[in-house]
Amino acid sequence: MRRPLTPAGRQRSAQTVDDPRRPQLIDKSDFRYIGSVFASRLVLALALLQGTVPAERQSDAIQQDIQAGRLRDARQKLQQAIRSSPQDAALWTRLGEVEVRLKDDQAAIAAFERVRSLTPGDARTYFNLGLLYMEQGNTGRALEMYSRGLKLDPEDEAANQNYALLLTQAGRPCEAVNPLQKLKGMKSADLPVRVSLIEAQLKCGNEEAGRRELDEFRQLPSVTVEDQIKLAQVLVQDHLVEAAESTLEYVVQASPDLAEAHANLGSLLLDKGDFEEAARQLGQAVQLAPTSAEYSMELAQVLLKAGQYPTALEFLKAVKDQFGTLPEYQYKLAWSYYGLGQVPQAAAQLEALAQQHPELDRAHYSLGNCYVALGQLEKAEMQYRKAIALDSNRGSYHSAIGQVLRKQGKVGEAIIELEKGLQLEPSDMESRVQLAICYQQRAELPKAERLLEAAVQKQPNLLNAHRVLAQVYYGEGKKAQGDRESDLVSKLDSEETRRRAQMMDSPAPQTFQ
Amino acid sequence: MTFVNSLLALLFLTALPAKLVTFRQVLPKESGVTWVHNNARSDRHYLPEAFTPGVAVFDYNNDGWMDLLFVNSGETTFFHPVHPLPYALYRNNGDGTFTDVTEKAGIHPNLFGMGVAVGDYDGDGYQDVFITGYGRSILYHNNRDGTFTDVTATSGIQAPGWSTSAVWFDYDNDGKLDLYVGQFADYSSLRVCGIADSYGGKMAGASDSEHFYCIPSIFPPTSSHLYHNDGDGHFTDVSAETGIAGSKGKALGVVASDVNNDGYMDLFVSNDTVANFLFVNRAGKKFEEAGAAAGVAYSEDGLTRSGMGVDAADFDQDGWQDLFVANVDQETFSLYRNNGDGTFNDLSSRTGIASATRLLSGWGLRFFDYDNDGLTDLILACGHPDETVDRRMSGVTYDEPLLLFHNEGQGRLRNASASSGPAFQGRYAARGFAAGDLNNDGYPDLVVATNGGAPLILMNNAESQNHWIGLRLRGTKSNPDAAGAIIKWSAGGTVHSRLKTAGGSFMSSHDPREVLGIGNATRLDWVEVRWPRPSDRVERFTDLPLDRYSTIVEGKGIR
Repeated sequence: MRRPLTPAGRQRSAQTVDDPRRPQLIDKSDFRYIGSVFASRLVLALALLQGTVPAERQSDAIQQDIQAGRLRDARQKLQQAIRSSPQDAALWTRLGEVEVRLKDDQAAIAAFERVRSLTPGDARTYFNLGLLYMEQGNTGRALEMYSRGLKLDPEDEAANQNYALLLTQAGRPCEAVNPLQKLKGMKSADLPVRVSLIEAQLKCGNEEAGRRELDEFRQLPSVTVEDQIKLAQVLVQDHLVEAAESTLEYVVQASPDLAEAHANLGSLLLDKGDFEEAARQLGQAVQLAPTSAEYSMELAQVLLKAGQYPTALEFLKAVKDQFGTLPEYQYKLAWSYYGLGQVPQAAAQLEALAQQHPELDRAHYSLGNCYVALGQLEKAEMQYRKAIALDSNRGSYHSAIGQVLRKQGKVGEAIIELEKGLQLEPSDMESRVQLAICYQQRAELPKAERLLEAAVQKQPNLLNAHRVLAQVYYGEGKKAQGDRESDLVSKLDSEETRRRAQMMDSPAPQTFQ
Repeated sequence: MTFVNSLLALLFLTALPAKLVTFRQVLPKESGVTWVHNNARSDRHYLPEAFTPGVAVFDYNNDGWMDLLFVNSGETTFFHPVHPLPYALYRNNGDGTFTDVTEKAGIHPNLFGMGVAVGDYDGDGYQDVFITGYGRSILYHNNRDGTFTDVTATSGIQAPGWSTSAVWFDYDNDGKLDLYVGQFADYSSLRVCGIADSYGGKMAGASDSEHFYCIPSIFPPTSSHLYHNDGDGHFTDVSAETGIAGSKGKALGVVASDVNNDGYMDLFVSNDTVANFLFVNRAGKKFEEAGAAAGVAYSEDGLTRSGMGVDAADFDQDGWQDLFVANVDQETFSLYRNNGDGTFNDLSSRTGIASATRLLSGWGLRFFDYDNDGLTDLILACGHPDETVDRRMSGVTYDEPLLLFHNEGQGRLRNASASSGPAFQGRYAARGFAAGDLNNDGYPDLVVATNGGAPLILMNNAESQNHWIGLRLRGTKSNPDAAGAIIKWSAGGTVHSRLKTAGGSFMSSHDPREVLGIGNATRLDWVEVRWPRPSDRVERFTDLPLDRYSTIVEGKGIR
């Protein structure tokens, strides 16, 4: 939930398995959990069932080959045996297991499908097939197998678990509720099951049931404060913000001295845009854990996002001795200067940062923005180029340099960059408008017109696009269309005036985010 | 050692020649201009309080010296002073001092005044005065004896609402000065605002009960007025038939110029938070609003801005009138180069205007040649409209500096503020601004009217010592102020050209005379005046004296 100080990338849990995508021939009871933010959240039971074949009917030779890892020999022998006894489900099952170990999922599926036709009442075959289909990415077929298997053996724990997980992953949380409730009945103290059930209920829109599950979770004797924080993090990931907030508020009340709880709540409130409360919570986190760079930087982030630049600057100066060397600190310090309109100081700060950490594309980009604010367009262009060299996949970088190039009269180059920006972020209407302005300046009015028409079609209230479009039409001699756009602009302007008359707010600066 | 160093420093300092600054501030005790503006600021923060006042530099008594008129607040629906607040008409004594003649002149309007436009509407050779205000405006006729008479009631000029900048110009080329009166938003609601809809939005520590100046975008736009001069002291409102009324805006600045060289004066009107207007004059009958088509309505990015002060001039000497508009902080000001095809390009980034003005809010301004090198320079008077802006800590301040740009030729401007004198290091709540030669030395001086403060008078030190020719043009067949005249002059083989614009700046009137700089040339080749229509007469003069003012009367030569 909190932003990492290091470049983006979530830390993997220590409990993460090597490669969760591969079915493994393991004992049914050996559950492996895929780590997430909530390390013990419900995950797929990666067990391919075995033991369906009575030992006395197996050929010793085949068994020896399997044990010795001579899988191809085992396969050959099994295929020979099957040729003699094609209706022997046990041989087909063993073959399926060998194919799995040989990583030939298609052959394994074929074998287990044969088993299913021979012994349609064996739930375990369905479960094995479910696992294999899931591995193939065939969720629909996997769900079908689990569903049919569970009709035969409704109490199978792993199958219920996998079925619920598959349903959740398929965006069918409401259907996942039932198997999860079954699981809860089987192992009521299992936290991953509880968490998954809370998720499913809330995602399904069962607010009351979800709240009930939440309350029950909190009352479980085995649940620690850390578990509750992890639950909140899971809920945030699921965009179940209210539930996450109430969970964290509960934790904060129960453990007011736990910095992590305050920090998590503060971060959540920051994302919600409740800056004032976020600052209060993060402020407490910082007081409780003053050595935490993460909390301090998060508090600075809140202050900056709230436009409280003087306070942010004051705070950052106060923690300079502790965190002043962190790139994140230097970046935020520059941001606070920028917010205060002290653009030269912001630029100086970012220049130092970019020199110390030339690998930080964001520093170059923001420095470019500072130079734009200072009217130093050539310098801005240079910094944007550096940012793009470090990360050429950010549309905003290409858009920024495109705008600067346009202002310098390098319209041809601007067009190239803005087009790249648009390719990367096709929904970026501002880049589209900027590109249109370029074409307008090059007197390529039909191109400008097409871009702007597309922009206003997607965003009919995009005022500046309408305004430029009006100019383009006038330029093309299409007076009627120009007048039409002008009328539309007047109408939108009036609506805007009315809207502003009702409510006025100032947007946060977009240069730093 | 310390002693030796100090001594060396002293010797060094005394050895340096005295540096002459470009502009020198004249203090009230020196000039006698002791008037102080009352901005009527109230706890409720009514928006008109923040915009005033305007100023005029003109010669009301035709003694050849430029006098000063300052506008003040007064009785209105939201302000009720116990005693009427004084306006100020200062007569220039010709010796660097001024005498307050307001009472004697009969200028006591008790009007919540905004600005002033000066023009000889009846062609009697004396400048008349139109004062714009909140609620009503006043037309003063110059009685030619040092006094004025309020003739509003009989003039037909009824500009209710909130009038801001006005300009005298001859829109139909009938030889008489007509009057455009810009109207700001429909403020009839007298709405007051809390922090949420204030100029800068959020502010830490602002209480719910506190009031701030409203962001103008919340007020509906309204139509401005155009009055036709009927020639008998009466004016007819022609706003509707000329198309002026069809465009609703929030006018703050206006300049009359001829942007398409068709011999008819057009209007460039800056609007606050809505599109600027470029009213293109169609043969004196209709005005076609072409701001959007011309590319001067919005920022390059298609955004509306807070247009305030304006001006027009051919700053790059290509024969086409360029435009300037000042906006509020973060919007940057715009210098629009006229492409000669009905469109304009914004050169503000390329000329350094954008970077210099990013954190400023501009009101009064002027294209002028302060060093008489023959090239058009630019001055900007700035100040943020919201006196609480410092509390917002956005890096923008309420008091802001003056900016002076020197024209380096070939379309390049250099920010010369830092080297133009201590006054350019100061910060002011500048609003109205007028340029004029107060001591008749041929170098324009500066008069800045500040909101709620004393005016700032800066005398031009004529640093460059360049030669000049001063002209007072009097139209006979063409309009009396010769607005729209085209003046060409040649010195040392270099030909310059200037169109005599009308209006410009912000709610203020400049010295109506024209000073033609000839740089370091020592003799003038010729001066040519093309009088505006209906005359269209072209007169050439080769015997105009250098470094002096001359009066040229249309068809009658030098007087």
